[in-house]
Amino acid sequence: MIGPSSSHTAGALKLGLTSRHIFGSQPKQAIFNLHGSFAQVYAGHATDRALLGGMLGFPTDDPRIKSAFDEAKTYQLDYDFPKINLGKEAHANTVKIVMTDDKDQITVIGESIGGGMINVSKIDQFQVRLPCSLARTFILIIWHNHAADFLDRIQGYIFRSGVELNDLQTHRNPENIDSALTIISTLEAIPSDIVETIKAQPEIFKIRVLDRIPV
Amino acid sequence: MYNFTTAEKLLEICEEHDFSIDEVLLRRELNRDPLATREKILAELDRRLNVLRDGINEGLHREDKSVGLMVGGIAKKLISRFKNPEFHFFHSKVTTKAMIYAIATNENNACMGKILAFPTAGAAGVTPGVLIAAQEEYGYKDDEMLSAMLTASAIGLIIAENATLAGAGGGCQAEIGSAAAMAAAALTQLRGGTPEQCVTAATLALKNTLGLVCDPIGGMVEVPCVKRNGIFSTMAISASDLAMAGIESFVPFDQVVDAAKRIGDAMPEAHKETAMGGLATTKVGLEQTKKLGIKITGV
Repeated sequence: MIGPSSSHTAGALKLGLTSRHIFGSQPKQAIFNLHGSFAQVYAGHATDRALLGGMLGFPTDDPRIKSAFDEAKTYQLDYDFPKINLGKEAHANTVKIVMTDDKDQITVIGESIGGGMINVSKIDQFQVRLPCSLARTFILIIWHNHAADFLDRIQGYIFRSGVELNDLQTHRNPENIDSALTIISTLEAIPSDIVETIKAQPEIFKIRVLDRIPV
Repeated sequence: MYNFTTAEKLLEICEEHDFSIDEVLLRRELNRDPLATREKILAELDRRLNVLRDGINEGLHREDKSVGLMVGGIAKKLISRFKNPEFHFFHSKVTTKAMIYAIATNENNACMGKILAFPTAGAAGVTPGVLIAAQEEYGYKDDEMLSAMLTASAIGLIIAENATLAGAGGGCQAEIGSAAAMAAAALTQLRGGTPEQCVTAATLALKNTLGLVCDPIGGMVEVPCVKRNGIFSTMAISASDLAMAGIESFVPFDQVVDAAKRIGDAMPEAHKETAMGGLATTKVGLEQTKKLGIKITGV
């Protein structure tokens, strides 16, 4: 990794990188709201450059992290680093990333928990649990309307492909009980025809495939 | 079946199968990931061993100042002292080298050079310092080095699982304490210690860092981090020496980790990487922070 801090540099980069993958591509604008220790000491740890580097898709040992502000200009990424107070319960190294382009907006909240390890705890309105050990697997993130047989159907497709489920979590939106977010993890990639079948389900309005991202 | 989250369980598996610690960790990795192979894991470790060596080498030759202008050129000065026959370090050759290499690694880190987080960037110097110095002075083979790195990782994993590795989470004891414990265990394995002796060395090292706060000036990984890595590498060697000499820890490893967790939880926020207390708010600390234009406002 490029220094100086595993939690404030490498971890920050991984939060940026994971968020980029959750957004699905490079957004036009990324607002990094910094909480706690992130808000206090981000400049000296290059947390800002690392978050940007991750959002641009750089790996943790990419020397371009040092010049991430210039790189962001090249890649036409708008950014800002406002401070935020997410309350006492939030981890000291928390960032709330709001990514926007012409068509979409996704918000990700994640923590850098030390030694370069990260954890994504919120995607849009949904409280999730996506540690980096899970993000390194093959992941489907599905925004969908709640339907009684939806999960059974999806699990059926995966089961028939012969790929073993590693983790499945469904989270409901507390403000809108009809909408839900499901995260499916498998250790092997789900064949692309099965992914296409899943994508075609009528309840789904957004889906992302994270193929073992290097975090 | 090779899964463990405590040292007690780890030693139980070692005993049951007559495995070294690194063998247990390797098998744990193979069990967790169906795509992993022993060759792939060792090749990745070998790549990382080279990152350690390159990091030391870069650090020894760097002349530039760090991002926060508080360190830079320390390792270069030390290695020239080391090579000067007129100057004598009190430490043995291997311990002196470990100290200098640890500082070199962290100075490279502070200048945004490439390092391996071991387990964190702020504490990245201790283990490479100790291991590379030991190899240079005692001729350990590369495959023994890879095993030692795995043993270090097993110790770090237990601490991460039951306490924290982040300065922001538990103060510097979580960072340099974990690093020293990992280095002590790894060195003890290199020296031919048993799994129990490796864990004892880790226990003594971690016990000796309990309560250490994270209060770097301006919140930057420079002061006191860089020199602290050097001095704690010598402590890791002391811990290994005691363990190899047959000394045991009165408090077992898992209970020391629990103590670290409780101490970290009770630590004030000002001393957990917020730059709002301790060295960061000394006269010189505040002056440097101001000079760099860093605003520590609290949130």
